[in-house]
This record gives sequence, C-alpha cells and structure tokens, in this order.
Amino acid sequence: MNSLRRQLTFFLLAYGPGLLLAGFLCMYFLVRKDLYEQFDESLRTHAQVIAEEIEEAIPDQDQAILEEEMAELEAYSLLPPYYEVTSSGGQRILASRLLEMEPAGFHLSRPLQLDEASSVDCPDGQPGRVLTVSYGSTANPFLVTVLDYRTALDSDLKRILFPIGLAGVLFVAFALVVGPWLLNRMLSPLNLLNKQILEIDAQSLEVRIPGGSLPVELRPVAERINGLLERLADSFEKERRINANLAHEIRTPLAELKLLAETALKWPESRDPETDAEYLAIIRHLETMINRMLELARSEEGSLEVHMELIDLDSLVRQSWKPLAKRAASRSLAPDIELGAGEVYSDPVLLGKILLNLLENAVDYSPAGSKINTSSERNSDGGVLIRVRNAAPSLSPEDLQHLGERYWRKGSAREDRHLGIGTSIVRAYCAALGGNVAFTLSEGDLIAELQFPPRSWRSESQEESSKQV
Amino acid sequence: MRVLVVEDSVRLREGVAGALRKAGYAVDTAADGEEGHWAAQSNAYDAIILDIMLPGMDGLEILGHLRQKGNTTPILLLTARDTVPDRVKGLRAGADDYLVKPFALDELLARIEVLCRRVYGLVENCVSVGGLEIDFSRRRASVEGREITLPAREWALLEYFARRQGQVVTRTEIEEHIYDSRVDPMSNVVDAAVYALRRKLAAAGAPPLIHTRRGLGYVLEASDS
Repeated sequence: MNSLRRQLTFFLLAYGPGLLLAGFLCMYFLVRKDLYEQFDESLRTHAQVIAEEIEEAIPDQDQAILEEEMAELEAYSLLPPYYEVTSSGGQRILASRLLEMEPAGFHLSRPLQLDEASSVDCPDGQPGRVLTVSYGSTANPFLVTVLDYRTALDSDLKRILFPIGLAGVLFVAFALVVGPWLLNRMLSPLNLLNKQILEIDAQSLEVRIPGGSLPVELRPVAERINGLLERLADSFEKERRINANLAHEIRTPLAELKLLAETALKWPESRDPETDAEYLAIIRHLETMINRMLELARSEEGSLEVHMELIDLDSLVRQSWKPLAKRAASRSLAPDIELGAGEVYSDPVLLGKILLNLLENAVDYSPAGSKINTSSERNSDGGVLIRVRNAAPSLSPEDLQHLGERYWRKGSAREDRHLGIGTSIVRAYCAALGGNVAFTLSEGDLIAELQFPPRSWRSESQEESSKQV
Repeated sequence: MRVLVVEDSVRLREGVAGALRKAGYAVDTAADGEEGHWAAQSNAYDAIILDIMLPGMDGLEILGHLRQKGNTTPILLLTARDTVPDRVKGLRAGADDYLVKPFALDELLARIEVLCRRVYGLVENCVSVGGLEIDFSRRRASVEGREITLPAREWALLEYFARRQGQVVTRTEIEEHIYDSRVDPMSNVVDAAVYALRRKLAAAGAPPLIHTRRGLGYVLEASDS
C-alpha cells in the first residue's frame, strides 16, 4: 500500500541506520588511514636517523663508535625496538639490541616494496609495522628496515571505534523505539486532516477545516477543501431550493384538483357547475407547466432545434408584445420600443420566446403606470445587443444572482401565472443561439441585456437551418 | 366555529373555504400575508389555516408575530413544504398542526375539528345536556335516540353552545365564532338562529335548554337557574 507513514518508517529504519553506519565507517577509515600515515612517517624518520648515523660512521669505519651511538639513541627511545641495516648484498651492518638477541641469521621481514610500510608481526609475536628505505651512495648502498609495535595505534583505533559503534546502536534503538512515535507525532496534522475530511458528508457540508491549527504546508489543502465545500454546499442548497420550489409548483395545482374532487364527492348535491371549468383550468396550468419544464430540459440538454434566418427585429418585438398588450394596458404600462439593429440573424421562434418571457415578466412585475423600454443596437464587431428595461423597485442587487435559477421568484407568492422558469428559459435559449443574457439593476430598473455575436460567429455548417444545437 | 384561511392560490383558498362552510364552519379568507395577519389580529378565530409561501409576509412570519403578541389561536400550517426540517421549523415557530399539500379533505376537516375542540378544553367527542346528546365527531344531535336534523349553521350554533356549556355566551361571541365577515353584524341573524334552534330542539322533545340571560346573552344548561 502506498502509505506515507510506511514509507517514512521504512526510510527511517532502513536507510537512516544504513547511512549513519556508512558515515561512521568512512570516518573511522579516514582516521585509521591518517593515524597509519603518521605512524609510517615516524618509522621513516627513524630510518632517516639511522641512515644518517651510518653515513656519518662509514668514513671512519669505526663500528664500535657507531654501535655506542646507536645504543645511546635506543636508550633515549629515539629508535624503534627493531631495526636492521643491511648491505646491498644482504649482509647485516647493524641491528637493534632486541634483534641481536634473536638467533643468528634472523632477519626482519621486509615489506614488498621499498619505502612502503606494511603490517607484520614483531619477533615477539605482537603486531607491528615495518618499513624499508634505501640509503647510501651508488657505490655503497644500504637498506634500513625499521619495525615498531603498533599496539598503541590499534588501541587508539579501538577507542575511536567504540563510541562510533555505540552511537550507531543507540541510533538504531532510537529509530526503532522513538521513530514511530515521532513519526506519529509529526504526521498527526495529516491524520487530523484525514479524519476531518472523512467526517464530511452530504449532511455536514457546513463543516469547515480549521486551517490555523495545521502546518503551513497543509493550509493550502485545507483552504482548497473549504472552498470546494462552500461551493458544494451552495450547489446543494440551490438544488434543494429548486426541488422545494418545483414541489410547491406541482403540489399546489394537485391539491386544488384533489380538493375539488373530494368536495364534489363529499357533497354531491351542492356541486358547483363551474367545477368542471376549474378542473380544466388547473389541468391547463399543469400542461403549461410541463411544457415549459420540457422546453427548459431540452434546451439544457442541448436538443433544441435551431433554425437560423434573417429576422426583422422590429416586427419580432412588436409580435411578442401583441399577446401582452391587453394586460399591459390594464395596468397602464406603456411600451417604448427603440430598435436600431435592423435585421438580425437568429432563430425567430427562440428569439421570440426570449422576448416574450422578458416582456411578460416586465408586464406582470412592473409597477402600474411605468414604462417598458425595448431597444437594440449593433455592436462595432457586428454583434447585436437587445435590451429590455422596466421598473423593478422590489428587486435588490442580491436577487440578481437568482435570475435564471429555476423556479425562483421574488417572494414566496404563487398567486400569479408565472412558474419561475422564464429567466431560466431565456438563459438557455440565449446560449442555444450562441449569445448570453446579463441582468443588472440601475436606478430601480431591471435591465436585461441580450448579447448575440455577429453572424460570422456561427460557422457555415451551423448556419444551415434545421440542425441540432 | 370560525376559521380563517390564508392561502395565495385562489382555487385552493376558495376550495378549502367552501368545504369548511359546507362542514358548518364560518370562514374568512385572505389572499396574502399582510391581509391574513391583519384578519388574524382583528378577529377571534377558533382556528387558522395558514400557507407558508405567501406574498407580502410569509406564513412563518405571521405565526411568529401572532405568538409574540400572545395570540393563542390554533394554527394549522398548510404547505407544499414536506421535509422534516420544514415541519419542525413550522411547529417550533408556534404552529399547532402541519398538513402537506396535496392533502385529503377529510383529514383537513378532522384536524380543524380537533384544533377547535382544543380551544374549549374539551377532550370528549360527546356532550349530554338535559337529555340532549351531542356527538361532535359524527355531527349528530339526538333526544332519547331521536336524531335532530340541523342545517350547518344551526349545528355550528348548537356545537358552540355545547362547547361552552353552562357559560353565558354573548351575541358578539356568537357572531365572532359562528358567522364570517360576510354577515352584517347589525342584523338579527343571531337571535333568528337561536330561535330556530330552540324550535327544533323543542320539536324533538328536548326540554328548554337554551336560556336567555337578559342583557348578557344565552346559556346552554339543563335547567334555568
């Protein structure tokens, strides 16, 4: 399993001690090499001292004086316990007193190469180090071999090795015992975040992850999750509101039908002759509602048929206004139409429904006696802007975000003929025509701006009629 | 019993009001929140049927205002909102009952009956006064087994007297609880209805049970004390 905790534990327990051991060994061997080099250098110095004494003694040819001087040097421990000077022919010229005590014919073992020290055993069996150096003139060469105990050197190395080994063992023990605890502690913010995320479900979307208590590395994660939760909660709330509104839209006419039927059954003698007309009106209302819901669903799923053609916008607006004229007149609403865009390339049915929805909202929701302005203009890029403006004193800026939301209506009233999906249909149809709609409030007026791109926006293949969007 | 129906859907409002009238209730209606609030504050209703989603002022607001001002009229919320949180919210706001649309008419009538009965502190469905048996749930009155047929309004009057058995009931109270706002308060409808009821009870063989307290009103009791 790809677990961060397991990976970290494995690293801490496997790589950690391994790396530490490697580091300790490197350090040990560097120190060892350095100590051996120092030891070899001292052997070389001893060999040099012996060679100088020999070279000083050779002109005089006085062996006795030489041995006396060497004995003096030995007495002051200025020479190693074992040394031997031999001629190029292998004859011993001089040897240390300890070596002289060895049986006749005994020679110190020499390293494989001159001037290269090597580890050997001393004649008494103790570990030592030997070095052979060549001195003298070409005519009279001699070899000086020096051998010294390395017991002290090995002892020093052991003293260094002990704390290193102890530190390694302690670290492994620490990694085994304290490591998992430390990891748990260090990973606790991750565990907490994990736990908080797991506790979130559809019913607890209001929960937020407290970013302040998390390490800085995890704060962006918490912030992002909180942002997503907020958007999700908004979306759920919107869906819940839509469902509640839809339920209300359907339940009210159903309740009306049920009540009429039950009343007629309960008191058949007092059945009102207008009841059947009421039934019909309710059924028509339900039919309209279903048709509009289907229109909206089709437009949202992209299965609307779009037939693009050149349309005279002025006549389309006036045609859309016609069925509303009586209602507008009854509320003393005056239409004000200023169309400057001329002909537009669009679908007359869809654009007509867009205009009808906007104008119907304007007629039913504007205060009596106000003006409903419809204007259009052509943009510099050839696109078309259609604007419907009407007084909307009850709308607040916060309401604008709900325009286009299915079944939303200002207030909770359901006494009018509206279903609350008019602006949703407007949005969907605008999108089907490649345009968009924006609602703004200005000086208490609601302004719906329909923006359609220039004709060239749609490709030739799209411009052919009778096709699916 | 007088009931107020506050509902913005015209058909539903008139349908519920019509059904309640046929069931013997005096019914006033209001089409929006503000009108409903005003009516609920201005008249003594035995029950109020209140929609939640109303224009002007929503049902829960009306409920809150009424309860804040100490109005204890039983209120039934009639709404399309059917979720548990909606019901809990409505009941916690002070509603006495909650009915979801679409509803069964009989259930609505039964619930209104229970709410009205609760106003007068009655638990039993039957009351007996000097040989007159009144069964509220079956809407029947009888004397020694002989059933008395009463039109809705007279039944409502008898029911009101029975619910306040032994108490003096003023004409104003009868007007407020038996007649809706469509009746002219200056008319003598109350006296006429009491007279008609007395006649029908006497015809059924019941002793005089509805007594006049001069200057005060009427009282339903077994003997004129």
